[in-house]
Amino acid sequence: MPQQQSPEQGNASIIDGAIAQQAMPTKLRSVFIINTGIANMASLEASFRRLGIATVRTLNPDDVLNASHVVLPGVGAFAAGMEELHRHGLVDAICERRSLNRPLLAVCLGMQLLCGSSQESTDTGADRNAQTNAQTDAPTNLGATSDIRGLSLFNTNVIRFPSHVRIPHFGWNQVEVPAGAKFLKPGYAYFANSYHLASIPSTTTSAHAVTIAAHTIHGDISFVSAVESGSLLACQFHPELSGAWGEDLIARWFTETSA
Amino acid sequence: MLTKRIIPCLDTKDGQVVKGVRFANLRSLGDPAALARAYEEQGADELVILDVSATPEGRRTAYDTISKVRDVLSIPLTVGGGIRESADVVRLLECGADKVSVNTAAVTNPELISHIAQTFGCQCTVLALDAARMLHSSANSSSPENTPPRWEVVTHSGAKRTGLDVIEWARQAQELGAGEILLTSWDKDGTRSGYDLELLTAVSTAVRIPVIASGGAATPTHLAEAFSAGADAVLAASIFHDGDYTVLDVKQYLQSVGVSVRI
Repeated sequence: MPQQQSPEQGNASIIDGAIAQQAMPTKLRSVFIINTGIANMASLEASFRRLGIATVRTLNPDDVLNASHVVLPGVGAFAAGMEELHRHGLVDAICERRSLNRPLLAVCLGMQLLCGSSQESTDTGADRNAQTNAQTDAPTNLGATSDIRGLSLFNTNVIRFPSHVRIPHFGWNQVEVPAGAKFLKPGYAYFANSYHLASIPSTTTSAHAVTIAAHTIHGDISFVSAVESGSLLACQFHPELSGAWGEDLIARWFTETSA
Repeated sequence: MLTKRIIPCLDTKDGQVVKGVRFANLRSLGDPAALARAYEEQGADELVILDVSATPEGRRTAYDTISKVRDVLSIPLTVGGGIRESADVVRLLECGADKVSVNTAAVTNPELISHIAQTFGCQCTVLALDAARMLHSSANSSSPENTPPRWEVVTHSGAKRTGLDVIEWARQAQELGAGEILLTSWDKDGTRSGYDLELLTAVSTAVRIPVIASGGAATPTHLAEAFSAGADAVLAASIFHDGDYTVLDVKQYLQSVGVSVRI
């Protein structure tokens, strides 16, 4: 019998014993995906399914705090993403989960939400067009402080790519990984981002130091493409769309953090 | 460094892969999921599925086909054909598409692009732009070689010439939030004579978003030419479907001539 306490087991104990016995193995091999809105959830789910891991979409703070494995996905805008997390009362759950070093996979915008703020949320729609089109220089509110705070688990902010590189940063690029990584290996990953983390300090506001930061180069810009910290794996790229390399990465994160 | 992408395209109809020559004379080439998986294993960087019959016949894209492909595919999947409104996009994303491409409906209703971009993100929003060279007017016919080429947007799978200038439309789509342009030469599609390189250069210099070249590729040399002309990615169907070259063959050739690819 697995020793790990989880909410699924708690729930299972109050239902019919036969069902609980049937349900438990599946539930113990499952990942809870925070359903922050319309994203490419199906791709993420298919990736786990191919690895034999069931997925559950959730907006429940108890799941987000207590489930054995949680994914914070992300496609869309920073402000909208934070708004969704606040609206469903998930901010504290994610932060507490992190402080307890429970396994968390943050993907793309999900990784950016772990930071203090993003230039994206200070951009007006016109700024975003300028940013996407990259036909104009940086908007005038470049230095403005964002009203929208991120989860602030990483002591860094998300910034735009400068206008002299192709934006969005779309396609396969190399991930350079320093020695000692638990999950990450060097290789090509699939990216779709217009904003990035320029750097990340080796400490965080939580008790768990950032131990590994992988980098990727776009044009002449080097940015943080992934972060490992305890049971946390944060990826700017989409591991679920990064072929066998990405699927292996997801598998390593899951198995290495499974008690 | 960002690599150049090779994107096989599956044209589907009634759940089967077909190949179009000027979008007509379709012939069946088999099961989309099997082909999708084979292309990923060969090293394809993404996959595009276009339901070529969707617009003229008022069809919706085959959702079952997309789900089956997603089950076996771990690279990005773009789906186009018959997308008219947000509800179509939601269904496709739920089936496992990562991006959707809009064509005819966006020309009729450009706000569709901004709506999809705002709701689902520009990384999800691909403008499929079918371009055809404008015929020179009789006034210019005395010196056609001195007249810079112009292209107009065609819709309804090539059935309708709109008169809309391709460069202006590409710029407008970028402003509306399109994240990529899938640029098909109507003159070259199915001819196996190479991409329309002038068109590629004209569009890729007019916009800052990535441009995917499409229409006319038959050899690895054609793909190399497209990258030299400014393409960020190339779409190809028959070059791969016919089995003359695998994606890996093509990538090895491209690497040998100095194009950065993922191998």
